[in-house]
Amino acid sequence: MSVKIETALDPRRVAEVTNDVVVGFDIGSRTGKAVLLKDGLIFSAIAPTAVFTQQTVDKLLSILEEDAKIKLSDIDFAIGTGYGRVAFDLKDTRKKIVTEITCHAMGAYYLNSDIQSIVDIGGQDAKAIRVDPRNGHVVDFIMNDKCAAGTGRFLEKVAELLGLTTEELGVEALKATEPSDISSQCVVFAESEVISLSAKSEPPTNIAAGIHFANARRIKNLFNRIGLVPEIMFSGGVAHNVGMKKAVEQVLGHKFIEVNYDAIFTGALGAAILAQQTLISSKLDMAINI
Amino acid sequence: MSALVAEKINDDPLEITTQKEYLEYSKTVHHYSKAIQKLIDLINNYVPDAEKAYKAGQPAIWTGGYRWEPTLLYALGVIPVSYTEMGRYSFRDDMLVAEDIYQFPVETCSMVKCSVGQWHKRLNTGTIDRILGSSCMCEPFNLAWEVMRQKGYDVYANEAIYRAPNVDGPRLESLVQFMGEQLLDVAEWVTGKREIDEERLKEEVKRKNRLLVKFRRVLDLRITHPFYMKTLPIILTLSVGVNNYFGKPLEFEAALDELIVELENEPIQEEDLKRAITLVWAGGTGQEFGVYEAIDLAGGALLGFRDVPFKLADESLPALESLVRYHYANSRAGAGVYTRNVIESEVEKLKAKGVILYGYIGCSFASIDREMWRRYFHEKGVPCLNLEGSFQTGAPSGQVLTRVRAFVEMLDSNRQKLG
Repeated sequence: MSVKIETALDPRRVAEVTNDVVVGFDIGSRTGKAVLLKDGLIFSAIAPTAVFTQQTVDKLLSILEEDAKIKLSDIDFAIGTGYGRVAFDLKDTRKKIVTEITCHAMGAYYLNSDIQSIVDIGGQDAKAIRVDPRNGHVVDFIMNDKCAAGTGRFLEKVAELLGLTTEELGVEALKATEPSDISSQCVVFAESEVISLSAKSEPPTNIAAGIHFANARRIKNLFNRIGLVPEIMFSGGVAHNVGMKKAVEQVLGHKFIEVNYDAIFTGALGAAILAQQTLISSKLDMAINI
Repeated sequence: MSALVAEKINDDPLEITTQKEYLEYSKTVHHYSKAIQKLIDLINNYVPDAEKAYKAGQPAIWTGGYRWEPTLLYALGVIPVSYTEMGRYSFRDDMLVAEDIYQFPVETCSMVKCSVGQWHKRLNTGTIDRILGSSCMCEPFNLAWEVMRQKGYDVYANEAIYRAPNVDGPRLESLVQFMGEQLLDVAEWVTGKREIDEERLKEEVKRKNRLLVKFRRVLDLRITHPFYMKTLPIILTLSVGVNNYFGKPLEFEAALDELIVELENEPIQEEDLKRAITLVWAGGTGQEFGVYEAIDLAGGALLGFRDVPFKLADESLPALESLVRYHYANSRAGAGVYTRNVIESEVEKLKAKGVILYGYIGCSFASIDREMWRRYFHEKGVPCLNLEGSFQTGAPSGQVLTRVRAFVEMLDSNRQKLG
């Protein structure tokens, strides 16, 4: 799948994209994402994270190769990010590793340069990131990974308990008349609470909404530490969850900014942009050394 | 496995799972420095060699190994053996000993549980059987000492020695008097006599000062050679060696001398100075050594430390008073504000780009200090990373590594922005 760069990116950033063919791989705990920049187009691929990172990377590469009609040797530079960033092989293609925090900030900056705060909820952690709107650099960040609560995996577990898919969980939450009061911050005890609420015939819609609000409060706590400055973007796998989006907006008291590209690819896009910036820097260094 | 993995992925942390593996790997990383290799050997052999010496008839006592304890014990003719160093040989099963046999709550600090597990393993083995518990040490250790006393160890714990902020004048003098009496009590437990040989203690105070000066020289030389001695050996040399000399004062001093010569003769690499992201480490020595590797590989240079002893002991005073006043004048005097002052001074001296605040999971005391320091430096515009790590296991979690790398990346981009 591809889109034109000018369709997806902030118009202020379009001219900065070079002709270098680059890929960003964002290997998360639940899904792997990749973005390829080539000929003024953004190609993307997504696949469930396999047991071995290389399998995920190979799968993503095969999708990109087919869609963009390229070979691995056509790629000038690649950046890997996400938890699976450490162990993957691209043969002779030059590559580098950058954390997803840096990549999400850069991706957000290229999607809309007014963004100053990012809520990133992935499969196994949640992050609050502050972005410098002048250059897409990270100003501050904080991660919540003490336990599964507040993460995508937590929502999956709750959806399972309620007999829903994760997509349905968010949709059901929007129908709530009175969100349930979920007090526990621990996934194990929250699970008990959900079972207990179900036993009391609490509507699943209210339980779903209650779970989302409990998570949203955790996000607010993260921003209490680093400060919240609009515009705010929602990225990561859970960005697709409409119930979570609504709950976080309500708890933070701000609407998320809309971007013209699927927010789940923010990290991979940022990695691809950083790959281009790395090539620019290395060319500059070479020019200086000549 | 470790080195091969390192070469293969070359820009991300290693998949090493034990502390000893990390130290062995660190020796290969520092293949160009005989001095650093000697220091790593001293680190690795500290506890085993002390236990061997004890079995051969030399007095040795388990101790926290910080502050006044090693100086006093050396003066009393005893090898101080730091029990926190036993964590290096600990695994999950040591924690389980503390939890299952001695009913330590799961949330108890992993450092304390590891020590209990290690002491338990040594019961009736003919090894060191005396424990000096300084109550300046983390409070949960009191529980560990009591449990070990019941199991047959000869345990002595003195009263807490604590100087609250702004305590000076007559109140400080009274504290000096109090601590002096405490140290005489310790001497009585160690030797049976309530006295300390003035000349021997004087020599030990002088040795302490001399080694501190040499260590400061190493730290100063690291400013111009930020990557010569990487994070793991420097942090262990600071937090262990400078305090208790790895049980071998002469060898430790010789290794420091050799290191100074190596650093002085090493040409300054301008490129290293440009790429080094100067950091101050404000934490203990966790056994998750991968954190240090992650800092090194990300381009961070840990040049400042919260435990840098600022002030030397006053050699013109009677030796015991000198040791006591040295204790009260340095960052380990008790209140978090003393340590914060050291961190701040290090940040200013090094023009550090950021501070890494590190503590152990389950350590409620340090978590409060860290949060106070984080807020203080945040308000001063100094970025801080608040990390929680584990004491007993080898490899850090992916999330911890992500935090470290992201922090260094953030500081690097800040530096580029500022030109």
